[in-house]
Amino acid sequence: MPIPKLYLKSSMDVNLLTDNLQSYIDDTVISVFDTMLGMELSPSVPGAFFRVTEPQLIGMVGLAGSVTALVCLRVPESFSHRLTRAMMGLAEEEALSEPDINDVIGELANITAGKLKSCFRIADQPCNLSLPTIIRGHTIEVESVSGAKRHSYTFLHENEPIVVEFYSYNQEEKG
Amino acid sequence: MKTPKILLIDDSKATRAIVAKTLASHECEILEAANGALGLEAARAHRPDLIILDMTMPVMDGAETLRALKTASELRPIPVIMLTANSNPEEKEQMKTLGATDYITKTQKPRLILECVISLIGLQAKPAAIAV
Repeated sequence: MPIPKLYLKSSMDVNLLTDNLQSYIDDTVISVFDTMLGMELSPSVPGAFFRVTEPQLIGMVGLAGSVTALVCLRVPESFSHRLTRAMMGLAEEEALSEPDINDVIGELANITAGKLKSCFRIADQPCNLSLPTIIRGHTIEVESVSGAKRHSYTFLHENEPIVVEFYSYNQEEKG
Repeated sequence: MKTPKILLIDDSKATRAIVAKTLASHECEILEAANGALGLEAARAHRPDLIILDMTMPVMDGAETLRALKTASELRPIPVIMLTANSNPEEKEQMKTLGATDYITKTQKPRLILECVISLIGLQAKPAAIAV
């Protein structure tokens, strides 16, 4: 059953979003992977669990306005190939290009951030999404600026990890 | 009968592929553009019967593209479906005020796009393949 959306009265209430954050992220990510890829994910467990021996891809999208946050979607590089084939309808023998892989991870991060944004809507206050950014590498750490709270959740699809990190900025501390 | 032309304007090749696959069961010609500026050029050159337009794009975003489409007299009558990662009631109202015919979020089932397109321009289903 979908979780009711959280309608904040003002930006001061933004800390309320962290109370049910895991439920919102579970609802969002499970629905995005089902709709866009036809992939079933297990509910998340708190924490970021990924194989450090394998290169990873991170898709990042910022939210700015009534809610200020950064949404990161992190997957192993080998799994990003599978996601790209599934989303673009490519056969196993068809070659993948780096721009296509970046496009798929960026679009998944974008749709995830867009759906999450709607969960944290503040009436009459705009909130905009940034264009997605992609990072790839072996040992990637996303470091937040002072005042940001990091929340990590790991989903699994057939033992492949999908890590969603949410960095929320307290509007008052942001100054 | 003329095959309807549908112009997909979205910077994500993956999303364009999903929409094209969703419409593939029906008779239509799909045209693609990767941003609003290229989409406007394609709309002027090909005069599509329908435009499916993403909101968040580089170069020219969906709102700016919609404004340009609706201020060009020759393009104004073309129905525009906004396709967006956001599901925001204020944005939906704003886009309808600017002239969008409908507003679909990317997290809704792709089948909804097909139903919306059929209701607007009446696509015909392709005949099923005949087994020999």
